[in-house]
Amino acid sequence: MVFEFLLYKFGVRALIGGLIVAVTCASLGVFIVLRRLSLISDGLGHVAFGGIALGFWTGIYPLYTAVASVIAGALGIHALSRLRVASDAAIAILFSGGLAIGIVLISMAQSAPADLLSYLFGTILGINDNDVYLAAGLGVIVLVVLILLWKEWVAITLDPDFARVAGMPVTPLEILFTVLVGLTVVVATRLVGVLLVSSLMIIPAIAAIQLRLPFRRTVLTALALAIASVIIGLQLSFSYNLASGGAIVLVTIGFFIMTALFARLLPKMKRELPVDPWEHQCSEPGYMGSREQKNREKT
Amino acid sequence: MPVDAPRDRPVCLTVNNISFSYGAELVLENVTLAVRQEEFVGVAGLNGSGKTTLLKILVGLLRPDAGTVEFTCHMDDCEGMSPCRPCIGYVPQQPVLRQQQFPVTVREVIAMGTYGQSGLFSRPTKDDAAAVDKAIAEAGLGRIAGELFSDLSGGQQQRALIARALVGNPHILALDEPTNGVDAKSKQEFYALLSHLHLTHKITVLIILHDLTELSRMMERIVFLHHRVLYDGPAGALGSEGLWNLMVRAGSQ
Repeated sequence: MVFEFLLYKFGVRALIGGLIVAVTCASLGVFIVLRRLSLISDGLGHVAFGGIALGFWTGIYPLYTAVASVIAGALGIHALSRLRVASDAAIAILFSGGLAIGIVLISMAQSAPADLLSYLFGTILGINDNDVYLAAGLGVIVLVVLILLWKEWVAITLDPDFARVAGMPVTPLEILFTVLVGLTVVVATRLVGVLLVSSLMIIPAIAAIQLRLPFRRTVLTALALAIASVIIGLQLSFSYNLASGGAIVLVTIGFFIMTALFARLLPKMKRELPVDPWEHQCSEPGYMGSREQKNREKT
Repeated sequence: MPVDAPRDRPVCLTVNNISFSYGAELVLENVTLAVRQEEFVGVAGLNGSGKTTLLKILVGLLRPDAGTVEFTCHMDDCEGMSPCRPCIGYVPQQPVLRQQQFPVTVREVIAMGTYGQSGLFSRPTKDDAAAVDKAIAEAGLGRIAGELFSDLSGGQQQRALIARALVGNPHILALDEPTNGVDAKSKQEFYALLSHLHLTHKITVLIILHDLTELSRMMERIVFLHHRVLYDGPAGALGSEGLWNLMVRAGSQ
């Protein structure tokens, strides 16, 4: 039977959690890839790992400490950029710092908590109601902010200098965007794990971009591919007893290969795009703004 | 140097003793100039003379180390701008858009021009859509509005970027070497379009160009820059020979 995992409560929970993560990750993914920030989710994933370890060490619910740590990490990236540290170098510092903090805290706890591995590799089939509620809450926040500021994200992604000159508060919006990425990383961590979180965010977006569609349709395609990846990945995981996070990410890679091949196998139509004949040609082409020209226009 | 600006138009933009350096490298030194409303000013100079830096300071992308930029026109129409200044349409030299294969259509690029004025959290209105349609038609891009921006030729991309800058009804248009990498025919079409837009929309235009012939033939006024202002006056009085002499003088400094 297809989708037999839905016969079980844990399967339904996994599907709901997975769909929330798919929608949240893929919505941000296209913006992240186009802004060449693909590594940022990896970096924040490692910061989240440090936060999770902090949660285990202090006894606080680990996803709460992970939320706090990714927000601090997002602010840290922008603080480093103000010190003129290149963005990839800033992400590398976060990447290593988050992991190092996690390792140190775990070593201080003497023995690694068994549940820690579930955060590293994800356990979508083992999530509880609390995980689903947290994922839903954070997912709604991310999506609402994303939709409300849609045109601003588009402008900042496509041309940040133009957006700045047009009067948009680019720097605060960039910080907010990094925070949204961090929250999404936390949402996805419990399901696909710290090590695979960026894949779910980035790969459906890259696959959709291959198809060279208009912007909104690219985002919607990334969403559709991420949702399909979660459903197919869960079914494969259930049918063949595979690690669910890994199965989902492998399906996304399968989609990427398919879209990349599809885009390249399509005949490339090299053609000169038409431009409408322009009826306001100047009598002397290239003669700009002189007073004689203006006087002629006036008369 | 005398400035050949029409006296019946008020000064729109004043640059007072601006200096700027990248680390130890001084790029601009005590640059002062005034631009009148609806004036058409060409900024020229050698590579690395500070032209792009000056334009970026004028549009607010860089802050000068010393000196000030003052706007004195359209100050009652600066909603959404902080600090208050006229609306500026900016056409950068190498926008990220031209460096990457973005999945974005010509219409989507031009629509970006309406985003700044509509404010945060707002949705594009019917008026915005009508303004985008008008800009598309005016730039002669109607037949390719649905095509991907990255599929366009260099000349077509520049027309789309001009349309994007104009769709927000700017008071000042700032263009940074807009015809770089564009073939001769497209250049002529581009200048014709720009000239028409300047005349019909009554916009103040600041344009960086490095083609001496085009500069001396087309500009109302030229500012020649080599870290400081070497010439600021009517293009006609200078001619291409005068410009060439300025280039030689700047090169020897």
